[in-house]
Amino acid sequence: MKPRSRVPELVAASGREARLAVEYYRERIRIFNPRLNAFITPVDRKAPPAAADVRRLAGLPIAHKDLFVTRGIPTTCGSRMLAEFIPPYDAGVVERLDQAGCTVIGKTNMDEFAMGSSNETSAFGPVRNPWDPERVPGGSSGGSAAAVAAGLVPVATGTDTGGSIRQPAALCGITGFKPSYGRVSRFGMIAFASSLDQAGVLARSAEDAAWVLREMAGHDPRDSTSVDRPVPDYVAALTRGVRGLRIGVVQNFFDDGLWPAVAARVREALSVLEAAGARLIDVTLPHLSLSVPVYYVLAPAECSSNLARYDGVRYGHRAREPRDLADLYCRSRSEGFGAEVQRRILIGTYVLSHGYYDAYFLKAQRVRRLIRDDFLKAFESVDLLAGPTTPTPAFRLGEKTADPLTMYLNDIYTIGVNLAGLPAVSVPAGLVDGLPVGLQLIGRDFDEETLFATAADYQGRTDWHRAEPPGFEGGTG
Amino acid sequence: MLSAEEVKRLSVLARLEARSEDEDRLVRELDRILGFVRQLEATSTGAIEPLVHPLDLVQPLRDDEVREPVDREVIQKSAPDVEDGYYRVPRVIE
Repeated sequence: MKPRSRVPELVAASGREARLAVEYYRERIRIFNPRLNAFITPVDRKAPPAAADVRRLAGLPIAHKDLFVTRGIPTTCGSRMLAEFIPPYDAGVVERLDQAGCTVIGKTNMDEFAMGSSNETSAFGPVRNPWDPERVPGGSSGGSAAAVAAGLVPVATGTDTGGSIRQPAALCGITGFKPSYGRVSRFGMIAFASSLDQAGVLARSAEDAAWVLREMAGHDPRDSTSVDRPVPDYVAALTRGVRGLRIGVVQNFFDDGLWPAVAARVREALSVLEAAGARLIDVTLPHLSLSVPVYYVLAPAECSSNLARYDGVRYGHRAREPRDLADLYCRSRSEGFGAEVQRRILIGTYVLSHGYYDAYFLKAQRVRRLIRDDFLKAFESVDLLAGPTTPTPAFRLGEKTADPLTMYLNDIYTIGVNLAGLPAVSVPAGLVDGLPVGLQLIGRDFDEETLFATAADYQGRTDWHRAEPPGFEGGTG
Repeated sequence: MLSAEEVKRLSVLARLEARSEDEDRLVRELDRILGFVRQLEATSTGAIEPLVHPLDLVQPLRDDEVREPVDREVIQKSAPDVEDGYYRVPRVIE
């Protein structure tokens, strides 16, 4: 049986049809996951039944990135440290989507503690890109992206600290939406860099993402950074169109590092929007090139602090037969964390340590403001910004693991958005050598609606978001 | 240039075990990353206020109200070693 796959169709199904849809995706996970390694834990948890099921996402199968804690379901964060961890509570996002009627069918693979851009830092092995199993799916939400792209689940949650939703979405040919910082609850979302982390959605289309984000977003008093303001109807925003919108084309995204073929796809996408009635305006963000160095001060600093909680005492991995308490801490952490996580903890410890704090940490925070101010200035004359999501299509497994810096530079176009706290989306914009690439749209603070309107208008005029990776046909109904 | 000594000191601060077998490589990697982020020095930031956080938020206070306590037994199910409701660790005081 091949069910309908658009979210509005899936949630309109009821009774037997809805159950068959869930079964259909479970079957695809059984068949295809061994090739992709997109899931760490398959799950069989239905939302608690409601009296009359008028819930907006009733029966929708969903997968959660394995850093959203799930009560009674292992939550590993892609780490050996949490390989045995079974949380006693649900994350705010999980709770909301449960209440909306979703059925959780799995926890997805990811870079360890969300630190990585290729899924190769996962303690559970790398995820493979359904478009080419010798290539990475991107990261850190690589499992969620590969699962949606291969049609193993219609939608999945993800988190984005420096591009971890948009970059894998681009490399797997799907739509990845990162909302404004503060839009979605971070309660129960295992922390990496708290001033940057934000939860979002990976889906086939802007339409599907809007249906899910509409339920995920909103104030949660248990997260002090969650903003108390009304959630607009993102689904209603889908039909607004781009006519009259001013789109700032970020000139410094089209730099030497960008593959010409990727640039060509992005420019084609922009001309589709122009033909639809948007106005393209050249924009330059002078400090944007500093976003990667700023990020690799601030994110490791925040991570070294957040990951101090893993001590081998209260939960997580514990070393055997420790000599004393210091040995227990040190060995539990060194055995539990992988190489990339340890590198970042050490960098973070360095930039926060006495004598270096001003030169690195404060300096990076000051440049962070310059970067945010560049965005705010640009938004005085445009309604949204656009450019590529990544400089290249998916790279080969192992291609960039030897040199951390090469890997870091892969996020050059996505990181600035997190530093500024803005919403952004990556939508499929075509193929380069048979591999998908993404168009990135960046919005004003809390203006997710313009992004949904623009992405949906683009997808109404193009078919790239319907492309299926060869060998995985049938997942999109 | 970052020294091996400095990396050892950082490992102690971060409560990580410094492993001698891959020490050279680690020192080189960390040094390259720090060299890369040091390019920020060239940007003049004068009196610019550091941006700690993208939102101009004040830390909200919640009402002080009576709530259900968190169940210790449930929480401690995740702990590697527990006795009588306490976490067991190696002896700290001889």
